[in-house]
Amino acid sequence: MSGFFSKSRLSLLSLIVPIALLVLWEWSIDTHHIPNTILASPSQVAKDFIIFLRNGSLFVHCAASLRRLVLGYLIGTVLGLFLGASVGVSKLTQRLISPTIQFLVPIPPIAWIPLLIILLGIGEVSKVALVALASFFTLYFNTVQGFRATDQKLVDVANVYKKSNLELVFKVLFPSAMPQIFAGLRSALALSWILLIAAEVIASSKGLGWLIWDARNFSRPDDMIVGIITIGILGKLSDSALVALENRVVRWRYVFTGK
Amino acid sequence: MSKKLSVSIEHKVYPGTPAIQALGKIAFEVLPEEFVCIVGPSGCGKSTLLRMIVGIETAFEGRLVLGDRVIREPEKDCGIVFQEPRLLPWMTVKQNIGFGIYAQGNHRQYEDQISALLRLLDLRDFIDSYPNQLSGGMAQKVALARALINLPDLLLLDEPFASLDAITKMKLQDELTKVLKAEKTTVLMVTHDIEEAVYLSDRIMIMSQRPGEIVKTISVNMPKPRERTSQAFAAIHSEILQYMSTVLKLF
Repeated sequence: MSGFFSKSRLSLLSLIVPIALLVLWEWSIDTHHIPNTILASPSQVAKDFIIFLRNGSLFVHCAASLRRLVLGYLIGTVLGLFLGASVGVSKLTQRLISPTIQFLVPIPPIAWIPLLIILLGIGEVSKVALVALASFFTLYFNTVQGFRATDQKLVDVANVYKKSNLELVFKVLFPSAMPQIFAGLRSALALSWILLIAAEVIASSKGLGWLIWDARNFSRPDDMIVGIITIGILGKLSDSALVALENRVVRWRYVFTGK
Repeated sequence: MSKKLSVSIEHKVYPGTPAIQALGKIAFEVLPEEFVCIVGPSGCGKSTLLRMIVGIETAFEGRLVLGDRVIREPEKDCGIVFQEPRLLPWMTVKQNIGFGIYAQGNHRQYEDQISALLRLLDLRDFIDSYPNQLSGGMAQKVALARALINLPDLLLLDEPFASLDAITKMKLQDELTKVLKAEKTTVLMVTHDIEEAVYLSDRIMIMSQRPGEIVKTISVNMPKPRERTSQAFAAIHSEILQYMSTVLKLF
């Protein structure tokens, strides 16, 4: 890269499209090409965002959503990791557990929502359970795959040095599966956000999903967009945190990082 | 310290359709502190034989004895270096060498030994490096250190230098000789590199094609370190080549 397409020029280049879109958006509402009862302009959204921050209600919604997300995600991923590892290690647990889970995996998590609501009510528990369920399947699947993708030659080395099963798991299989486990953690997180918002739209009285749906009911397009943007920001931040963690944990990896 | 290895195998068959007989009747001994090489064509069952001796391949007819112990599973008194380094990519050089330690828990007593091996093999600058930062020869040296950390009575080498360039290979052969002199280990090595066999061994056994059997044994009575360009060296080298081409008709 040199001349006109230097690095700083390139990053400036990437701003052109979003700025143009924002300008077009603002202009089409200011000139009433799109009525502002349907779509709020960027400046209206910005003002609304500040109001939400000032009166603290944005934090209330964020806190409600994050609590459900973190709780469900932790429960689901830990269980998925644990069960995935035990199925990955042993043929016995594989025969015992795998067929059942294989049958449940293809069911879209959304399909569980009505059942979960009947079983667990429309309160917090059903939402946490939905996130946990989806995280569990994702992590389970990736952990088993990761364990079973371990190079048999390295397992041979562990056998030659008479490593215990515990050492085999923690020093060979787990580290080897780590890249795949992180892929699972990231897709589980993305899926968790999707399902959480869906569950909050269906039934709740606070949270970001509810904020968006409630804004529709009261024809407040500015509130709606504030909610959408907040979800985007939180989703991106949580994913970046995972990526940072991954880069620390698997820094031994020697892979193509792009030209 | 080093022990005698007695091998007497009736046969080794890999089940399947068709079943493959990897090894035929094989009987030989490796004496304490002796360096014995098995040379043979690829696919003759050399590596299988080593996997059996190290105790990770247990389905065969026969009896393997190291010292006074019948080999049934991997033990501390026997170490192995494979064709590839097989280092754990997520461990540093030091952690990889430490992975070879049998004892659970107390690793402190091995600290001195790890440092000694690192010094002996000239690896001290790479102690905290990850395997992907090492050259092929360096990685194989770490694998050698991992095998030697338990001070094994018998060291098995499965073509450990096969994937290295000629110069690195010669260097490592010299380093191996140096380390073995210090550790006084019995060695059984398999290789397809005849020069390597003549350079390192006290005795060379030639193995036939599958099912592998020992068809000839040649003693190499030359002082070490050996002169690769000497007349005697060339004579043994060509004796083996001759045998492989005229008797075994390998090429």
